[in-house]
Amino acid sequence: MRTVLALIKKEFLQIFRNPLLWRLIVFIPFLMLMIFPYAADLDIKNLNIVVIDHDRSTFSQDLIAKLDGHGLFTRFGNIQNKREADNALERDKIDMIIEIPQAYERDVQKGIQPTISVTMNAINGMKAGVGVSYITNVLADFMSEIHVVYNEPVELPGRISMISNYWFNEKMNFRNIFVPGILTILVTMIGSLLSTLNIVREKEMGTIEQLNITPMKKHQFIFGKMIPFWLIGMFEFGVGLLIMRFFFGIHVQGSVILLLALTGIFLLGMLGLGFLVSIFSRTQVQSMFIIVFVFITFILLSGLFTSIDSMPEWAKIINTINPVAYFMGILKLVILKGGTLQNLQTEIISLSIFAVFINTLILFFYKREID
Amino acid sequence: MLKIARISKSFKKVEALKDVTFEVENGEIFGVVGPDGAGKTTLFNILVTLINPDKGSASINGFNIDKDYKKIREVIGYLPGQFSLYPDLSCYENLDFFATLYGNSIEENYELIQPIWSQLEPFKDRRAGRLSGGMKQKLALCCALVHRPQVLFLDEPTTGVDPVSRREFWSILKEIKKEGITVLVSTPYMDEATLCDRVGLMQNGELLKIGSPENIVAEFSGLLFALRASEMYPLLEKFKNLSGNIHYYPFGQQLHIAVSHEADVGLLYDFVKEIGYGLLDLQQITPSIEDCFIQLMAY
Repeated sequence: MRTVLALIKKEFLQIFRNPLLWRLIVFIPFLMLMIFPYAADLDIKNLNIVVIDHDRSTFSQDLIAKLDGHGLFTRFGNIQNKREADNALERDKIDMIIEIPQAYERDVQKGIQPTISVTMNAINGMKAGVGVSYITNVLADFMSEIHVVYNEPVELPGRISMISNYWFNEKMNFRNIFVPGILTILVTMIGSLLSTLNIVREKEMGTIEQLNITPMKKHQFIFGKMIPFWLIGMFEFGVGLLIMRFFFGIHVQGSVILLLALTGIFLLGMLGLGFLVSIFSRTQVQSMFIIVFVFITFILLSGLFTSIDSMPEWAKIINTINPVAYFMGILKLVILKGGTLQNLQTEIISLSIFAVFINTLILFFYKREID
Repeated sequence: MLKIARISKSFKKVEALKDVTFEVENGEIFGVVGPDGAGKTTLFNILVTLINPDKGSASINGFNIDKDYKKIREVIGYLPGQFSLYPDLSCYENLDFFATLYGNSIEENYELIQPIWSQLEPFKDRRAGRLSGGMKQKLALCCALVHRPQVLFLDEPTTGVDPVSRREFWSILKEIKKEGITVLVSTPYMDEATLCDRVGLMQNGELLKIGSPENIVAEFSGLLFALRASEMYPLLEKFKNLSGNIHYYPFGQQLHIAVSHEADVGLLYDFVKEIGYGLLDLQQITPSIEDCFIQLMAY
């Protein structure tokens, strides 16, 4: 016990002596959580549009008023001809051109289907897609309204209007998905990278030899190395949760204690992974390459960017051994859906198996021999 | 007591140790002397249980290095060749850390390290990485002694240390010996061999000779002469023409000439006269331990 405590004390002394390291540890959660969710912000709040009204009728004015009242569309400048509008679109000044044809009102009154042209700027594909769906809705809506007013008798051929309702993330706020993702990356990175670099550094400096010839037991060394970084990992996660709650206003729907307990298990696995890599590396560069490779593979497959459910079968099979995917699932379940212990059995069992397995490997491979 | 029996170790194609056998008595300073690459560090790494030998066995105070390595680690101290304390911890923190790893406190064996530690005390809050070379060595020695080991291993402790500090370091080793601690020290400096109770000469992984410095000197075969040379290089060129079983090598300002058979002495005298030196320039000398090592290694 004294030995383990001495190791932990030494580790913290070294971390706080390293002016870069402790600042990184403290500020990384802020940096990651404050920057990435904004960079990957996929919410569309505003579309700049130009409406070219060839008709100048009551109907066309009503349509423009409806667009203005929608909230998403902002009319850009006072452009009245198509050529100018095209020009603005090509220079990425505006997102959409709506052209109302000359005989619009007359056609509607006669019952002829009028054609409204919509030109979309699709440099930002995501934005274009959302814009098109919005404008289609607005136009369809408007057409049905004027049908009611002008075309008597009203014939509504069984119109079905769909109102979609997103569960667990009602406003489709992308941050709700992204912030738990960043938390996952944070814990994974801190857990695996810090422990590896620390142990390999001792190898590089030769201090590991001094440790190896002391009567210290294998498990004492492993505990002494794991506990400090486990504590740091938990600290990072805690800070991340606070930022999520107070900065992004995302409340944890489930139990925070459950969340912390599961993060603890996940960290054991990640620290173990870092430790294992350090056994097989001689230099920090080597170990960093391995960790970064494993890390990126795990993260990309984990469902941060694409849902695991939409991945091909082989990717799903790989994900059955991907601890990061389980952890990502846990965070989303507990934070967004309020998942409880009963909902998380697969994840908990899988993470525990991973942690036990990897730490058993350490006991097996970690030898006193320098080679 | 250390018993090393027929130890061999290879790294891929390089045979680092070949059939090394020797014994070290309790309480003596045993020097392993040899040039770089002789296998000294490998031998020490095996004895301090960092690596396993391919063949052979060794025991320290009755504990086998293979089976009882845990017990051995409790009774040995090791000062590696390169500085391997934590440079970002202070002197005191390093010492305290290693004392705790051995389940001790600094106070328990304070009187053992006190003579060395007292010199470091003014710098005890300085980070170990910012100490001078000699101070680093002293701190490392304190850390290796803080648990009062029965056997102390020092791998080239004086390499890269200035001559004054070297002398001081050896006087510290004598003090440690007085405490009843067996000291195994390796060094590439042959002059340090005379400071040991017994020495083993190593070359290319083989132990060439073991004995006290006096015995090794007494076993020098043949006669040794020294020729004062004003310019060494031309002299060496001229000596290339010398025939007979005579070996020569530069030794500081002098040329040392070892004559294996007394019959060849006349030959040497004639040769010296021939190349224009007076007989007064040539003196018969008693060999130093370095001459003995050169004899053992070179021919």
